[in-house]
Amino acid sequence: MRRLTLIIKPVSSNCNLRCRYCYHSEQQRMSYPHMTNEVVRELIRQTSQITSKEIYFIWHGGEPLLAGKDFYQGVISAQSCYLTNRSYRNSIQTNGTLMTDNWAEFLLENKFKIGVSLDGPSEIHDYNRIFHSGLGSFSEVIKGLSILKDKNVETGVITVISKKSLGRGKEIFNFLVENGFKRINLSPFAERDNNGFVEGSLTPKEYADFMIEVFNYWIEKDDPEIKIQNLENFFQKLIGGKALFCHSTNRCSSYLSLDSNGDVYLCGRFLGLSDFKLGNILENTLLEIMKLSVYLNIAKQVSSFAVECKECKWKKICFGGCSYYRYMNGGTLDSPYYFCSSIKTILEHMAETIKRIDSSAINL
Amino acid sequence: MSTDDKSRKKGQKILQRMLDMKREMGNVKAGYSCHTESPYSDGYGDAGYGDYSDA
Repeated sequence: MRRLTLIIKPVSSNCNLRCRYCYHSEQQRMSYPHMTNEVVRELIRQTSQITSKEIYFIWHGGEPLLAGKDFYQGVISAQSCYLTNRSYRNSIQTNGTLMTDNWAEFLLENKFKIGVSLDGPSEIHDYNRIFHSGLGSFSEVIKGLSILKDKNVETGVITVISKKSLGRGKEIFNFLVENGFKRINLSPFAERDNNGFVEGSLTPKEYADFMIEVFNYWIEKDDPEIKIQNLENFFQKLIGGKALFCHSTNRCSSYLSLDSNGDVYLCGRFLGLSDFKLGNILENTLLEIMKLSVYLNIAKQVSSFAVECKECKWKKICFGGCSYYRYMNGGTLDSPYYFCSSIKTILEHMAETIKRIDSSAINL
Repeated sequence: MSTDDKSRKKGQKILQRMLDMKREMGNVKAGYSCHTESPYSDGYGDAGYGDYSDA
């Protein structure tokens, strides 16, 4: 394995926000205590046994800043102890509302990459990303981002696309760019519970329409400094380049997620789903877990195509799509990708546009 | 310049960056970004997608 990516939830699903589209239940949020120093030290010790060339630690949530600076000081200390001569990187994905000068300095000093979740202008952001009180978090996020900007920290942004975003692709694009964010991940929201699709979930057509609106505008603006992760991933694949993004690979097995109690799952999206629990690092090491049949079976399943994909001309581009959205769509990892029709529509449109710019650039 | 020519011209800078990026990646093995992570500025060719150094 070239790179092992660990998505770690130091406070499990605990969060100071109550976003409408959050896939963690209230019960999940209150289920586990914060990760102890013992668990995190053991985790880092175990990663030293894995022979991947790189290890990426993504501190995620819930809201990972709730773990406190002492926790991350322990992380830095354990990494210095166990990962000498190893290549590793820390990144943190925060909602930005708890950012202070002190936090920003700490994260900067320890070379953490910082990503913030921001859904666009206040009206869109505040509809979904709310505090317990029901009040929107936009102004607090902007304060947090100002602190990071003052410290010259370049911040990546994840923007969740929900029903509230529809028809407003240009507006969201302009808002992010005008506020200095030029590295953007547009993440579609769709989730199911026992009652069907959760409010705000996108249909595949809505997702395709939104992405095409943004793609057309991105091309029209033609600013090479603006980088939209999902679109660039497809763009690269359409011109014969390499995948940039996990959704366009079938290698989910190199992503593991850890809950605060040490439970290990495949990818953060599967966290809490018992079928995808691989073990616990206090009972088995990561190395042992990655040799267990439950892990090997899942790794095999995520790399297989749905029957519907076998004859598809785009299969070498999407590789069957995100395994979580396959599971969500049909209950198995070889189910068709929920956003399959969206991706086909987006790819057809992108390919035509690239051909118009330079017909020799397409390389499928 | 005709409307068709103007239309063709749009996107050329982005296409050029994409082609440069493809060439820079060359024969190295890719490391993929995780969907739960924001794109950062320290990646290969400043692309923000992590390090594509040779495996």
